Parts: sequence; C-alpha cells; structure tokens
Amino acid sequence: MYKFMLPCLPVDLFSCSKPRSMLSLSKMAVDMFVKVKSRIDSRHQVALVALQNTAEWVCDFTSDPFRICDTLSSLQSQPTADEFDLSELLRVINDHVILPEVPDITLPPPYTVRVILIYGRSSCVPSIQSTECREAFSRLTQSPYFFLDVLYIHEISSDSNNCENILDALYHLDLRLANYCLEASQHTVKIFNLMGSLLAHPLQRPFQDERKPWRVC
Amino acid sequence: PWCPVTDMAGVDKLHPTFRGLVENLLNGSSTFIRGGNIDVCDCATGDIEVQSEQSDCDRFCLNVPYCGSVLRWHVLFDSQHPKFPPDIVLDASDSSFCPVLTDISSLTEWDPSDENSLRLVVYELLELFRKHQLHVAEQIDHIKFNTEFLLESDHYCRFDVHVKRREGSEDNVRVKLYIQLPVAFSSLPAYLTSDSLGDDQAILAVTFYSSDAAHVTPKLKFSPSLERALGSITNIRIPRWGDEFGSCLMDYVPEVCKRIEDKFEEISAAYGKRKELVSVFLSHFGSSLIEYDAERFSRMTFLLSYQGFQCLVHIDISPVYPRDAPVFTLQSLYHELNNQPYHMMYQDHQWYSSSLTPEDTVAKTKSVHKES
Repeated sequence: MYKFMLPCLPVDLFSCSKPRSMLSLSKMAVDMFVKVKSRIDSRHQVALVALQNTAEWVCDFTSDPFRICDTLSSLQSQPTADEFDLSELLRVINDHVILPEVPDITLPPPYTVRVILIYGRSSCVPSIQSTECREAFSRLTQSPYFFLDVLYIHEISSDSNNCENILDALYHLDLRLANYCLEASQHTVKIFNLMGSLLAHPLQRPFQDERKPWRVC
Repeated sequence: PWCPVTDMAGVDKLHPTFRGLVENLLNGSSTFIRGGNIDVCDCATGDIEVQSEQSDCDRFCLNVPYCGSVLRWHVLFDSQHPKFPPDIVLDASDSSFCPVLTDISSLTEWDPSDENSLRLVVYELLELFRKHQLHVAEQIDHIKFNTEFLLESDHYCRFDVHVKRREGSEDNVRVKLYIQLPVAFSSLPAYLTSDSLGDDQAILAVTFYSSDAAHVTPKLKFSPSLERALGSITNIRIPRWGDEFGSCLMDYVPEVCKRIEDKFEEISAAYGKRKELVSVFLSHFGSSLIEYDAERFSRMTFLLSYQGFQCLVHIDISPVYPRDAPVFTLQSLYHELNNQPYHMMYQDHQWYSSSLTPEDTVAKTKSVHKES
C-alpha cells in the first residue's frame, strides 16, 4: 500500500539572519526525503506545495523523485507576510486530493494521503480563518487515511518571537493524535534527523511519543 | 503465448441492445474457456444507412481461444429485429464442424430478455466443438488411450483437444491437448493471486506431432497474472516425456501436478518464513520502524541512531530466505553520492547460517551493527 505525500514548503523562511540558507536546508531535507521514500517503495508519489501568502500547487503527484527535486531547486525565497492563513493550503489540498473510500475498515486502503507541513516562521501564528475551510479540514482529518505531519523550524524561543504559541497552534492541528508534530531550532543535524522520522509510514509507525531510533551502542 | 486479456473496447461500438449480452459473455467466459479470454473485434453493422464508426454495430467477430489457437466465430444480430437470435458463422478453417441447429437449444429457445443468452450459445457451441474434436482425435489409437484416461478421471477431465491435419496428408497430424490442472491456488500467499480475481489456471499443453506418438512436447502454461507472480515458468521443471514418468498421460499428468503443488508449498513456506522474520524484527525494533512491506514481507527499513547521528538500515529478504541471508544496507540521512543518498551494503555474511532462527538472526544483526 503506497502513499501520496505532500511536503508543503515555506518559501518565506526569513526568520533568521541567513534566510536563504534555511530555505536551502529545508529543500535539502525534502530532497533527501523524496529520494529515500522512492528507494523504499517506488510506488510512493509526492506532490509539492509552496507556501507564501497563498498556497501554490507547484508540482503534481509523481513517483519520480528528480521531478520533485528539480521543482524544489527552482523555488525562490519570498518576503514574509504578517499572518498566515492555513485556509489557502486546505483549499489547494481539497482541490487536488481524493481520499480513498474503503467499505471495510479492517482491509488495508489502496493508498493513504499525508501532508507534511514545514513551517518556518517564528513570529506568525498560523490559523484557519475560513469557516468553510475549518469544516473541510475537520472532514479531512476524520478520514483514517489522511495525515497532517508538521515540522516546525524556528529561531530560539525568546520574548521577541512567538515560537511557543506557534508550536501550540501547530500541535492543535492534530485532531486524531495520529500525526507527528516535530520541532527544531535551526539545528542542521536535528532537522535531518526529524525528516528521517517523518519517513515512517503513517499506518505502520509508532505514536510520536513512542518513537525511538534503534540505538547502536 | 496466453491469449489476450479480455478487451472490452469493441463492446462500446455495439448497439445498446446487444451490449449487455456481449459484456455478460466476456465477463463470464473464464469459467469455460481454457488458456485465455474471448475478445470482440471487427464490429460492423448490417444496416447500410448506418456507419460502422457509430455505436450501432450489430455484428462482430468473437476470437475464442482453443488449444493455443483462436477460433473466429462471426455473430450476426439484426438491429431491425433485436429479439431474434443471432446467426453464427463458424471458423472456415474447420469445415468438418457442422453442428445441427436443432442440437443447439440455447439458439432454438433463444430468450432475448436473458442477458446470459449469448454466453449460453457460445458455451454450447464450444462444447459441441470439443466433442467433435474429441471424436476426430479418438480415431487415432494412442490418442484415444490418453483421452479415455482423462475422461474417466475425476481430476483431469477438464480438457480440450484439437486435431490439425496438413491438407492432403493423412499422416501429418498434430494433436494438441490442453489439460486444466486441478491445482489449489488458494495455498499461495494472497499477493500472488490478488490480481487475477479468481480466474487463475494452470494448463498442461501436450502436443502429439505424428500419428505414432513418437514426437511429443509437453508445456506448462499459467494465466498471465500468476506467471508474473511466480516468475519464469522454467522455475517449475516438468519431466521430459518418455523418461521415468512414462509416455502416457496417466503417469505424466499426476507427476506434473505434484511438482506444481510442491513448488506452491515451497513458495508458501518461504512466505511464512519471511513473515516470521519481519515480525521478530518488529517486536525488537518496532519503535524505530520506518516502513515494511506488509504484502510480501520482502523488506523493512528502520531508523538507526549512533552517538546522536542517525541513519537508515534497509533489510531486504530474498524470496528463498532462509537459504539466502537477508541483505542489510545502511543509508545516510545527510550525505549524497552521485545525486543519490549515500548507502553501503553489507556483503559479509559469515555470521549467517540458514539454520539460524529469526531470533538468532536479530541477535546477530545487533552485534554486527555494533561492530560496524
């Protein structure tokens, strides 16, 4: 059973002194992710959404990791806006994704759909402002075959930013407690390690607080 | 080669009155056709005012697989009189087959309201053709000896026979038998048979090339989905005709069935072993699982951690495990080589033995990784 995956990449990672390197880092992490996923099972398909003030579906579902990587490399950084409305992202997902309908829930579905939201702002708390989109989101998350994982890359939490509130808002997107919400403060190895955790198949992986790499010691 | 899978494309060109009849035939033919599926082609209309490209065709050709050949039967309905039974023009290559119309009850008692009607006609005609071919074949003594065994047997009585004589030559005869083998596909793991929707067949095709049985070639054929799943048919070695299993079907066919069943048992046992190994790995390292193949149990991937750095370990399990050792590949999360994640395969399997239990294999794996 394969997956449709949707890394949503912020092109406005302007939150540190070297904004372009953070975008590059995110791109490299996603690049690694799609190539490894393809190696694990070539039937996995990935699409790409770029997040600015709106959400743009920049690459349709494909099992060719190099197509995703080429699209990734073409993304340019953009100025940050003051607020971030997830409604646009949800609209784009609704327009492009069809969830499987499986009459018998004990049978494996033909595929699952997972959104991986990589959020890079340290001052802007995300929200779903549209009521219609909030309802659509609720419907999506009711399906046992839809997952929304989050990787939050942020500055070191301080009084001058809003990291705690943002992390709280992102945690609350997980209505079924089946998703992963991971955070890292611009630590390169940690970001790649967390992307490694996100490689796990959502129907086979442990719950987030039960995950533990196989330690060689 | 196996005849083509049912192609429904021609059905769209048919007049709506006849479309359901043909669909019913195409969907239900696997129960009485051996070695393939019927398909529809050469759709046309008998109404000169209608162009054939439109969806109003009332006549078509059926390609009916039979003993490795194809019988071409032309079916002619009349869209002006849709309730009438069709005319059937049989394959001209076998002019000796001339069934009497009154013998074909599905035509004489044609029910236009029954969607099974056309399928019943084709089934009945095919049965008559089989009987005709059997009657021709039984004129040859050694063929009759073999077909009598098949007919009297409970297990091997589902067969087709086809006699082809070179024109003008009574001696240059080729007799082909397609024997449907009573093999239990349900013993195979589900992933091997899930594509076929229950239509799997194993056919032993035996060709007698001359009238004195001196030259006989047996071949094993599987339905396409099963052949894809099992790999090359040469993986199942059938005995040579005339060797230790004799020169008659009475001895030969049961031996072929046994070899197929042995192979299926081997495949099922290997599947069970792989599944067991995966479950033992999951019981030890489930909290670091990335993904495993839950269909074939042929691979699993875990996240490995060493001194704060992480990497992936892919474990590929051979179809012939435990005879072959699992293959371990370490893959970096941070580095690339030639535009691909950097990886390193473990080739040293000195620690491995096919007699190791899955628990021992896991224990050895832990110590090997520690050393690496």
